[in-house]
Amino acid sequence: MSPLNDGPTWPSAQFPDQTQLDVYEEGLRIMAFGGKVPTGTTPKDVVYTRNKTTLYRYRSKNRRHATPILLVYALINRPYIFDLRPESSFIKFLIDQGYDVFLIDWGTPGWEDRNMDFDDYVGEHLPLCVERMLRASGTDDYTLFGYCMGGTMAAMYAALHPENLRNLVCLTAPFEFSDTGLYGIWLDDRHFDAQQLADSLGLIPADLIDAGNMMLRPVVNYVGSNVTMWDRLLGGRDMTSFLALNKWVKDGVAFPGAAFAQWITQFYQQNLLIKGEITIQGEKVDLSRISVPLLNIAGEQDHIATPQQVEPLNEIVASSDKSFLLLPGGHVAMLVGSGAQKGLWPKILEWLDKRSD
Amino acid sequence: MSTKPPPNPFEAFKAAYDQAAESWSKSMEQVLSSEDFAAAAGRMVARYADAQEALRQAAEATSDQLHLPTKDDLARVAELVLNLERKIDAATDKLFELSKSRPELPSVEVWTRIADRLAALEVAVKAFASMPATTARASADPPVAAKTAPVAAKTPPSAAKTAPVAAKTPPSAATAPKQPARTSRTRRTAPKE
Repeated sequence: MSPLNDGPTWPSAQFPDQTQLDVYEEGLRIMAFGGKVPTGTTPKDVVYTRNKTTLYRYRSKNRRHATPILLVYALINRPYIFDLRPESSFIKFLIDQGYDVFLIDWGTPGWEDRNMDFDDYVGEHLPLCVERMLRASGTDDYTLFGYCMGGTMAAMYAALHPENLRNLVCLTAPFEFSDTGLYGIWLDDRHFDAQQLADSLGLIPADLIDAGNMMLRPVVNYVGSNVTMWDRLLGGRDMTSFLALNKWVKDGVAFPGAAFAQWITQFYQQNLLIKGEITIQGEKVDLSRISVPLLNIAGEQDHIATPQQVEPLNEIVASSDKSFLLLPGGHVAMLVGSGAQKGLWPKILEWLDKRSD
Repeated sequence: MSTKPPPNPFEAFKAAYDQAAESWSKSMEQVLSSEDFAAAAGRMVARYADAQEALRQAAEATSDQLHLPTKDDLARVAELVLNLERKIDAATDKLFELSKSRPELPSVEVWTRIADRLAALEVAVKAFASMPATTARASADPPVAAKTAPVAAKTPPSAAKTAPVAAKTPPSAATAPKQPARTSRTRRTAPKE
């Protein structure tokens, strides 16, 4: 049977009318140029800037908690994933619950930033942002919340600077790199020379990083996402959240070459973090120095930071108050998917409420 | 013309995808997890890096010949700006620490209040300067103004809050200085007179 001859027909009995053709035009436009919807719309103030790094503050109108939350995201992709749409904004949720929220945006690196590495980000920019946040909020302690690579950076910072830190929350952040699935095979140092790539390119293009992530599940990412898009579009369903996520996925940030080389060689190829052999500004990062309450969360379907990469942090830290949560969802859907508001968010809130002034 | 609508290509594709997605994924995973693929991908990335570097070097050489700034030149300028930013940050930090350790020093709030008062004063002066000369002359009273001006400067910060409001209303005959109205231009040239 040929699906083109005997398969399903157009929704209308007529040959596609102008409205249906408009829908197809819209779908092709989305495929070519990505989603175009407003994102990151929660009002915010700029508290501090250093180079491309910006520290934002989201003020709660009914602040009930003195302990502010500092959100740290990865060097790649944009941090507005925390504030994707008003109806799926984790930041809005937190400020509605009475928390003062700060967010670090690492910005878009320029050619002059190609030599920036984790020494600069974790050893220089992050401490400055913490200091400015404490000054702005007028408090002595804070909760550090890291997502993805931002969680790894947050844990490294927590190990180096435990002062003033009250709680640490890591969301889908990798710590153990001995088994990283397909990444481990592709990034094996017999095949992949990260330093050569960094030296040649200076800045690793966002498209290259994105292609690596997409290739983890090529059928779902390249074909399935388009099937979902057409399905929603032709079914007349609301496209807003899909378009917002689609925009975010395509809105990547270049990876500074030096940080990229360090991330691939020291973390993925040599697994130095969990061994306590990563150094930041000459000081060894010993994760066992973390003694504050820890909430570590992994996604069951996360292919980017698998639960096996996330959970080992709980085994190594010295915290007596530590929890590991394994929740349904993938790397991104867990935070902004339809289930987040009834799954992940209330769980984080419950944990924070008990440990914040 | 047939009344039967033509097949919907998307529905057909979706049906095919739903049926085959799992097997496609498995096949792809087999390929992607092989050493051969990893080696080939590694070689491809290395060649891409070589090509990009060659392109960049050629662009730099061309820019150099044409006496145009290269990316490296611009980056060096940006680095100078960043160094300046670092110094300003360090100075800000020192000022903050100093104001914390020496509470007798004026705080940022005090400086802000002074700045507000200066701004209010500026508004008042501008309002006065923009008055028609005859009105100003008729309503002016220099001896009072001369006496009240220093007093006004010593008034507590709370007085500053009222200044902008006062500035919006034209000075009354009792309070306005009896001086010829001057535009900002005449004031700037005053020292030469």
